[in-house]
Amino acid sequence: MSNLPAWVIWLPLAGAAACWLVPALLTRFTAMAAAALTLSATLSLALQVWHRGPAAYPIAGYSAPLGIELMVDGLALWMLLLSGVTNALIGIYAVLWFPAGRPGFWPLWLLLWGGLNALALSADLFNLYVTLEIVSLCAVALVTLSEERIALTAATRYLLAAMLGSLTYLLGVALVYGEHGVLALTALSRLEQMGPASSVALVLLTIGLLLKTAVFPFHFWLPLAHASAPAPVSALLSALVVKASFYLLIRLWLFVFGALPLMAAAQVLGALGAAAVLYGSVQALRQERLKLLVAYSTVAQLGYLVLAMPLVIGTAPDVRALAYQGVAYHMMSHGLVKAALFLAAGVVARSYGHDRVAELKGMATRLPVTTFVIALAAASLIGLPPSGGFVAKWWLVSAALQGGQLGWGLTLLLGGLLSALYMFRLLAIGMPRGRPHEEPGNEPLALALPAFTLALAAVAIGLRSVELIELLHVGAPFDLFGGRR
Amino acid sequence: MTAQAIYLTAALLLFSLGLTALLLTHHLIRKVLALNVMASAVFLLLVVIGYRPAQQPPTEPPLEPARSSAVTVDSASLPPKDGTDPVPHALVLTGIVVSFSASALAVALSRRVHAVTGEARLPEEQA
Repeated sequence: MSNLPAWVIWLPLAGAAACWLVPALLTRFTAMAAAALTLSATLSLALQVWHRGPAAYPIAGYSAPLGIELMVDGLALWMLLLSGVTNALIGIYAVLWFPAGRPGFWPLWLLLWGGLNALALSADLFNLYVTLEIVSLCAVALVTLSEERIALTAATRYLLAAMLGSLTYLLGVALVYGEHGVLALTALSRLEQMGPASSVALVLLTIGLLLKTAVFPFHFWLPLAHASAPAPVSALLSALVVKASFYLLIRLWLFVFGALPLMAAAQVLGALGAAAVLYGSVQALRQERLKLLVAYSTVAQLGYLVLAMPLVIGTAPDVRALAYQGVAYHMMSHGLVKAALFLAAGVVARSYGHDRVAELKGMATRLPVTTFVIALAAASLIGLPPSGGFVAKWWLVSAALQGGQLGWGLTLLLGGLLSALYMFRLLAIGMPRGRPHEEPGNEPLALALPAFTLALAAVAIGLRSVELIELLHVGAPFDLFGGRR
Repeated sequence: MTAQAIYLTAALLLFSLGLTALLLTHHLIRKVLALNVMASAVFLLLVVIGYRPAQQPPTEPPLEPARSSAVTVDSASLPPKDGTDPVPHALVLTGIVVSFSASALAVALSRRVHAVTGEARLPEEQA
């Protein structure tokens, strides 16, 4: 077993340290070099797992339960790839976004990336707590880079919510350790019996993670924090940071606490998700500022992920496999799309000097590429074929139909309709009617291109679903999906 | 009530106390303090979990019948030997470091909020 899993974590952390050491003018080059190395390590790891299957990497040669292991399976790789591709493109955008004299972004960004990778690979409940904290603290610090005054209070609220989430999670970890005396995920997943303490623990772990994922009704901190951050940071937060805690949630529910009877609890999660979809979409429809619209759309889209829990937990293996693929696809496609949308919103804000939706008339003439990005992203958010969003929704709705859980399926479709409403409202204002309102402006193409690439990637994953799904199922427990690999 | 139960109850009470304060107070420093009380509650719980009373170390199996009967008499009449599990201690140490860093960031942010808005509380703003 090579030590690539360690490199994927170590490289961005070392890069972050280097960013603080080099002169301010060199920071961005150092950061981009570290980013390039991290991305190549991620891709090599993906290739290795694809060819040789899942792997465990004992840090310093101590294997679990004595040491702390890193574990790479399809789901971990899924997160690593999403964070690799999205981070790299956001980094390119950030080089052009932040002025050269302001090096604050770069080390925090690399620390965040390292934290995300560590979170994806950790196979130990407590180690996961530490990585969650790294991710949250970096995310909060990144929000404060904004020049908007409101960002400061938004970041403070975000931090308080994140700390509460961490402590709730940690209390759950303590209870699990008290009952079973182990923290390694693999050891926990092998337990046949779990007592009442584990049920309470799972409730606490779940509440902590729901707070960090900003699932309704814990979404209160998200819209302002995501909307007031600088554009590249908004993209990082909405695309990756909230996904990280959800990733952990699905890993715990599906792979670790399988011995607990979770079906009723999953229905509760589904109801929260449905409320998030409806509430977030209606709020998005009402927003007057583009970045807030996109942020509320995140609240709604995170709802889909939780909404799918009753389809994944306690259903027949083939339904479960469909729903699991749908959730994973939604994570990836929403990550790419939301990064693209926030980057595009940044271009709009730079070009207009504001982001008031009603005053974006003629955006398509002034910023054709950016408007195209928004349209592509809209297609995937709504779930139009052949985008990744379509594939995700197709699988989720099929799972709902096959599993006889029609209500969840209908909510999914209604959510798609609502996202069509808020995205079409934006596009309708942007499209020229009759005589163009605006002269073709000089669009900052260098900024628009990373956003375009992300939006294109969100469509492209819809076209290569067979290979990606095969990767996702690498190392997934055999009995969980009825022998599907 | 055993000592462990008392500590467990204390930990849960502290946690609830901190949570109540976090939700009900508005001053930012109070909120940070409330979070620290909650953190201490979790650490207390972990330390209690690490305490393994009356557990004979597995590395000392009784050698002969006479000695083994002496051991049973010991554990019945005398206070049992304390055992401790080192893992929760390591968790608490790490947890303190994490909680310290988070608190430092929270205090720094609170000071900035105070400097910028003149109030050490979060406005009831909605977007």
